[in-house]
Amino acid sequence: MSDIVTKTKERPKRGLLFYPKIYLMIASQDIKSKMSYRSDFWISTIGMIATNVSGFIGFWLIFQSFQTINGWTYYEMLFLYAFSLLALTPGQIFFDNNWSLRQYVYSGDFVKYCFRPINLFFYFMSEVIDAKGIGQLAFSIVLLVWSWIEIGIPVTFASIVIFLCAIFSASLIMIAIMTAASASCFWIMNSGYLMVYMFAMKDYAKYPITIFSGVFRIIFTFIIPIAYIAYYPSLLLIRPLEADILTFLTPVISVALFFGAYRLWMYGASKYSGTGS
Amino acid sequence: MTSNVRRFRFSRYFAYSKASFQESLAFRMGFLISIVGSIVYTIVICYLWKAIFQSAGAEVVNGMTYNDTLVYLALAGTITASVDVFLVWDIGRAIQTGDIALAFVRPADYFTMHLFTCCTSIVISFVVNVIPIFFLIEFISGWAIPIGFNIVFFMLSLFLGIIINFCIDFIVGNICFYTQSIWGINIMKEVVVHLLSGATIPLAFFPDKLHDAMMFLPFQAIYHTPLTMLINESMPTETYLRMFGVQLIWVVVLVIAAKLFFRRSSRVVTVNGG
Repeated sequence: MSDIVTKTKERPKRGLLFYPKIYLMIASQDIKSKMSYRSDFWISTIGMIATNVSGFIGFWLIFQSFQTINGWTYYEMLFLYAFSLLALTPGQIFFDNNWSLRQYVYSGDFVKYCFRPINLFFYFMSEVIDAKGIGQLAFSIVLLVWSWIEIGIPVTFASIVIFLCAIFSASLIMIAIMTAASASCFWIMNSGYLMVYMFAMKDYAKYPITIFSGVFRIIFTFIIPIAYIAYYPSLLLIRPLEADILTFLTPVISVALFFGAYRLWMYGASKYSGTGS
Repeated sequence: MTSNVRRFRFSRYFAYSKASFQESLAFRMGFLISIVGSIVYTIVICYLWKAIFQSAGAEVVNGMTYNDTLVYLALAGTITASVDVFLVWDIGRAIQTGDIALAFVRPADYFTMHLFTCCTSIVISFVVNVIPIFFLIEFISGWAIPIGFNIVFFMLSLFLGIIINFCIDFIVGNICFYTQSIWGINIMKEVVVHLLSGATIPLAFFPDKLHDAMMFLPFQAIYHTPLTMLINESMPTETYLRMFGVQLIWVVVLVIAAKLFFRRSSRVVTVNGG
């Protein structure tokens, strides 16, 4: 007995590999349980790719009748589309449990997460890996490489580094938006609608912000910041001369937004008092 | 006794309509969000296609003006959001939880029951969603939608379109008897219906051969037919007759197909314990 007590009192050694190791342990459980529904995985992956392909067909159809959209060529538009899809993928794969937060909170099951001796947000998110996002990952990379070559963006060390920074920031923005939207369930009922609505906004990220004017440009830049999911970060690659201060600020904004969304989520969780049953 | 059960009782199904109406009232917040969503969608469509038409430098492309396209796409998008009553999810979940068993013991037809439930919530979202957007589009486009008999034809045709859409949903929902996947099946249905019905890009913008092929599919009868009737103030009588005729044929074919498919697929149901 005393042996157990001393063991639990011992502070766990948390090296650099602590969180990755825990992540693999938790996430692999989810993958195991999903392996028993293999047909579901395949149908969902095909469904995911089908939505991406239909977005591509949309552009293809528009460019059958038109040469440019507001000066943007077919391949530039495809690049923006592919970039936005790729940026959405990490959120889709690793932060999918955001969609279930609502049910956990309303049913009271959320309490189980509050007693874990590791970061609450980390534990919650590591519980689900959404494998169907892999289809989207593959599709977006193929489309991105194709449009990259067609536009003739040079493949240099600098362009690769810019691309990686850009895609990382863009992904963080989408994760931040969805995390903040899901955290709203700590305060309001019907937060599901808010999430669906915010998720639907991502569909507008594939357009260059220049087609919007006035109020909507401000909304998409500062209020619902979807312009950072594809337009601002990819400017440096496709149209470096048009890149403005917001392009260079994208990494800072994305980290700030993600941190803000994370704090909001944690704050909501700390206020959580269960359902009482 | 049996003859009594077989007879179609309107009041029996009307009860489902009433329940659906009351359920909708409980989720008013959903309507608010969906109307905001539709407004944003309309404005984005407005900007996007304005940019597209400006770059083209032509007034009419593929027989459609900017205003035609705006009316067509904004209404199609709003109606799509309104008619989506998550039927595939309802049927899929009922199959997974085993609630589907109730459908076999109830003295009501499963297809008709869902039809009444869906139609009620569609009518409500039509009133709170589509009608405001209709006026918003009229306002943005400077009263581009002519007001006359075309509205009557549009409503009639849309009613048939909604039934066709319902049948497709019902058939797709029944596929869940065979698979474990609701999300995947539903998303594929959405992609196919949205694209092939012209709800994302008007069918007039499809290359000729594709366009002609689409006309042989039921999807164009959902949005394309009613919206074409709406944006054209008047068309020859034969055109109206042909369009309604095609819709009616699809209604009959799909209702029969849906009922037969349910009868067939419900034999394979396996409900786990409970």
